[in-house]
Amino acid sequence: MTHRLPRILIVDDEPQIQRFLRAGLPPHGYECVEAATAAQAIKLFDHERPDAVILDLGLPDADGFAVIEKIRAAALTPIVVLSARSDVEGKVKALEMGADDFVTKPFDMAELLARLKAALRHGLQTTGEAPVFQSGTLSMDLVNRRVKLGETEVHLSPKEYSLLRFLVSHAGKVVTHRQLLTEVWGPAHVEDVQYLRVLMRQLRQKLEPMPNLLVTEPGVGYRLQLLPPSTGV
Amino acid sequence: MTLPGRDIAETVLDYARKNNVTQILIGKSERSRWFELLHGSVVRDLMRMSGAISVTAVLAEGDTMAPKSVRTVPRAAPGAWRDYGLSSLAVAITAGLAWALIAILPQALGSIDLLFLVPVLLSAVSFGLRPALFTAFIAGLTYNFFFLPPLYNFTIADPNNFLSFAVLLLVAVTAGNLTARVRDQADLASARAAIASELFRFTGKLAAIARLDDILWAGAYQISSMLKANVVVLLPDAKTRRLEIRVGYPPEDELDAQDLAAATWSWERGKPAGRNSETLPGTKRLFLPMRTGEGLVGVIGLQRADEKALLTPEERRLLDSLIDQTALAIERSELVERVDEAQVHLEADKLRVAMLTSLSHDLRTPLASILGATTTLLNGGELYDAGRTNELLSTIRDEAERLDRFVGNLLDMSRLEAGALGVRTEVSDLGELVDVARKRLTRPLAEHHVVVDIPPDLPTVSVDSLLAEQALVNLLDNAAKYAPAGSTIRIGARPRGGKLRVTVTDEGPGIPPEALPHIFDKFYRAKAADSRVAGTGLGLAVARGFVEAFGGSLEAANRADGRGAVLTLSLPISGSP
Repeated sequence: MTHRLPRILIVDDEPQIQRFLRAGLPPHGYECVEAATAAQAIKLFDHERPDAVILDLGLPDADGFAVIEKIRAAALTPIVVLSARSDVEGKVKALEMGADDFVTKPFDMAELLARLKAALRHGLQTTGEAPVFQSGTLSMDLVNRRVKLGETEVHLSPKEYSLLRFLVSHAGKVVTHRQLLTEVWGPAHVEDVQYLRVLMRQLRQKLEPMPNLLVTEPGVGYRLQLLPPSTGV
Repeated sequence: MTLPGRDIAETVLDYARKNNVTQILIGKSERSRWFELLHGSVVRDLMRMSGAISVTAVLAEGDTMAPKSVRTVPRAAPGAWRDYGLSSLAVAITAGLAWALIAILPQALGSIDLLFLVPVLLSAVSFGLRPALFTAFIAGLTYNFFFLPPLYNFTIADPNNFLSFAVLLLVAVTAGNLTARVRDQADLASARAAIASELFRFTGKLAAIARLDDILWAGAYQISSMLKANVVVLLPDAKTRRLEIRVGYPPEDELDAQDLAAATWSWERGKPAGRNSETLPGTKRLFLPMRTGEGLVGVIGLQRADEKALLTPEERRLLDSLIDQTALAIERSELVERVDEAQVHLEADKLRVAMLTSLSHDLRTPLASILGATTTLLNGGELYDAGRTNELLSTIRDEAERLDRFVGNLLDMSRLEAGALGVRTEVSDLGELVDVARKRLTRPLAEHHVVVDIPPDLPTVSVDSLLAEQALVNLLDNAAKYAPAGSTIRIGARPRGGKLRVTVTDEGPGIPPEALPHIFDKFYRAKAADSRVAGTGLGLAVARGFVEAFGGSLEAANRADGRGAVLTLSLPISGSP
């Protein structure tokens, strides 16, 4: 495989959004392909084989869900969805249909870049994982099941550990309530959001020195932030 | 309920028929047969006269009696045959008594005729003129046949005895007439009392109705049922001013051309027209104008089953007062409507002015900063060093974010007013909501110290997390806008009575007391336009609307020490009612 820049398919019918993504992405090492309709997006996807897709849910000819469905039928290419803030249902539906992440409009370029990076990283990482995960001062030894903040060991209950473990394995990406509940408590408890809220509060208390590590995505789920590793406390 | 009337059974049945009662349940008391024979029995009378209405009597005390349902033929001339029969019986008993008296006391024969006055008087008092005359007649004949010589035939030998006969008849006529008049008056009084009570109820009913259609319906129904006529009410159309049927009892939605012409004539002249009136007497209905002190409100049309029958003066008076009551009620409802409309117009005007002020002043401020900063950079950005360029770019970003919050609030307000929130309550953690809200406001809150005082063991809340988060964002944004830079904004939470009370306290100027009642009105701003902080005046209105959408509440007050405002959110605790 020749070394080339990751190619991003941008699907949005707004020329202004297209314009600033076209200007903003290449300096960060991405190549852009643009589509304004669902039909064009599917055609270009087959043709260009992009490494990731940025997809607006509201398109003139069909909704973005149709595009997710078509893409997922063919490949595991990461998809980052653009959606309105109040459209919680749309976000959850897109994630459940196989989208990797979402960014709420209007968005920050830095945020979009972080999501895109996490999505691409995850796409590459499905093959294998590093034995020790790091984000900020948190380090998690996946082999010996030990969690440390800087040099201090943090004692987690088995449930707390498996919650953190699942978030770490999707680091940088949003994980829905449903996914977390299924993973940690089992499929019988997918509706018991209060278990999750309480456990998450406990976990956050134990990881308090890193308040920005676990991010709430209202109505959707949680995200473990990928922060530059540091050893200081 | 109390009904006025002379005869219990008759009055009850009258009421029952008028109100389409199909079944009467009556308690029967245990009385002797003799008592009933002498005083009559309401139960019996009811059963006898009930017609198509089924009457069930239930023994009031003691053993229960099998309920009996009695259906009798519709009421004929009530009691007619019984009256004559009883009268005859009384004469027969008198004759027997007279016979016995003479057998004991033969010299009483001369004044035995006086005895026969008794049944005549009884009959006159109890049954009226006709039975009394009948009684006098058979009493005369009986007296003649059995007691006047020659006995056992109807010839009268002594002319003196004609006098006895004539006196009997005279007594019968006088007493019968008297009784009949008293009875008629009693009947009339009872009927008038019934009508007065009915009118009284109708007036009360009309007063309780506010909607025009309901008033019309009640009026048409009342007139129809009290005058036994089909009724239509015509009102002028609001725009075309042409008369059209608004209600009919029984329902009716079209008039033929002749009737419409009569109605229109009546409406234009304010006089009666149509059947049995001086104008257009050939139509099916009689049309009467409905008038109040203010003028005409409409026209009412009546059609009776017997088209030729004229209204009696009594009926005409009744009709007039019914029409007056209805007309007044119609006028009242129209006035109420006009007042409401004026109120709505006034409110809408105020709102429009407030909205225009808000949009022109507060939306343009961030746009001006953005335009200014971008044009500065475009025209000679190379002249600035990195620090200045960065400052200009930050201005653009901050102002764009502010604009986004403004527009967000406008959108939220319209979603709220359109009832399109689509509330999804879920178990949420207050700490998370506060975190998210603070993160969204990182830059506006950068100049303030935010102190979060939320105990770790708080119960979870049952809210729509998106709406609750937006409400918190608006409260914090509000505090950041009004409290001076460097001051502290405190977020606290305590459970109380099934709710989690969340307070946002600032160290700003507080809310002027006169502004407190309006602080949640949309587009309301506590200060005059030029001296105030930029904002849409929607933040708090949206916050309250959102919180109430999932069963919470939001209140505003000033701090006890007068140094700033306290906004208190009450959020439902999950799992508690």
